[in-house]
Amino acid sequence: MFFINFKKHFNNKGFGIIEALIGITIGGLLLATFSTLIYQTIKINRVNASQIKATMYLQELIEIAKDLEQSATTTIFLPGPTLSCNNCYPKDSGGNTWTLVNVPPEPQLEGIFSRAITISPVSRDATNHEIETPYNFANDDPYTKLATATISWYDGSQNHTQKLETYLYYYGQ
Amino acid sequence: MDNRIKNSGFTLMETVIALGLGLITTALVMSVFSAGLKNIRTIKNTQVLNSSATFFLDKVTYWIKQGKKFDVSPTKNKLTITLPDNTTTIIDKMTFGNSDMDATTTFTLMKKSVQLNFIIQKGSEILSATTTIAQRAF
Repeated sequence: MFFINFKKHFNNKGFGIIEALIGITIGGLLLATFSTLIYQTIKINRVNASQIKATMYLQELIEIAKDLEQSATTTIFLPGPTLSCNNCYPKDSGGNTWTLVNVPPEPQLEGIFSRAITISPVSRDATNHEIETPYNFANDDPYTKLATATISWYDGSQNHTQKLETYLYYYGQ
Repeated sequence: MDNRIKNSGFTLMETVIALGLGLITTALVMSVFSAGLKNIRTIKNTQVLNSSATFFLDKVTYWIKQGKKFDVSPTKNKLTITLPDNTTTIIDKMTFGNSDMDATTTFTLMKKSVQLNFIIQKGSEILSATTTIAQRAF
């Protein structure tokens, strides 16, 4: 009995084509799964790194707007519905002074990031003085402006956009 | 007994094919695995760099927002901040963690902000960026 079973389990048939195919398929699936996992990890890491950089460049626009809030009051705090700046970018105009320009367009940062800042008018409710949405020309507040910074980039597979907003206040009134 | 078990082992061809397949599979698995390990190391370094950059910028922002007067050294790599109580604090080269990583920064004074260009390196990973921090409106 022992010898019969022994022979049954250790015959000389070798692997059949089906067994080989199943083995190769399972191995292939495992490799594909592992490779996909690594690829996705790299991709997520790259997206995260871009996101951190994008946030930093976006915050820089807001910080520069905060510089101009103090250093360029006459160009920022225009009365009425005029946009102080529409889709601009900051430029060192010499003499360590920031200016916002929109021509020519800013070269992409690191070859992928495109950013812009718009400074728009703000109006306040005549009764409670809270900021109104949408803007109402009749209640224009020339001493408050809305700075909206946006950044967009393409990470190789999809487009991303981030936006930050802050209010600028005229402190000299 | 000899007759019954004499042909129960693998043939030479089977052994050679099995070894060949085994080697190819091992090589494939090892290449994917080592690439994975390398990427995990890179990801770890990048994350360390990103968190260090965030920490560095938070710290610099904290001091700049409090400053009322700023001076940059001629080499531009040292920022002296005079605080409202007239004490000063200096920001220059910053070392992180186990001293295997530091941030080298150059500062430029703008009218109401400080522009900084910093480079942080860990292993072969480098993070460099330029940003600006506005002074607080007094």
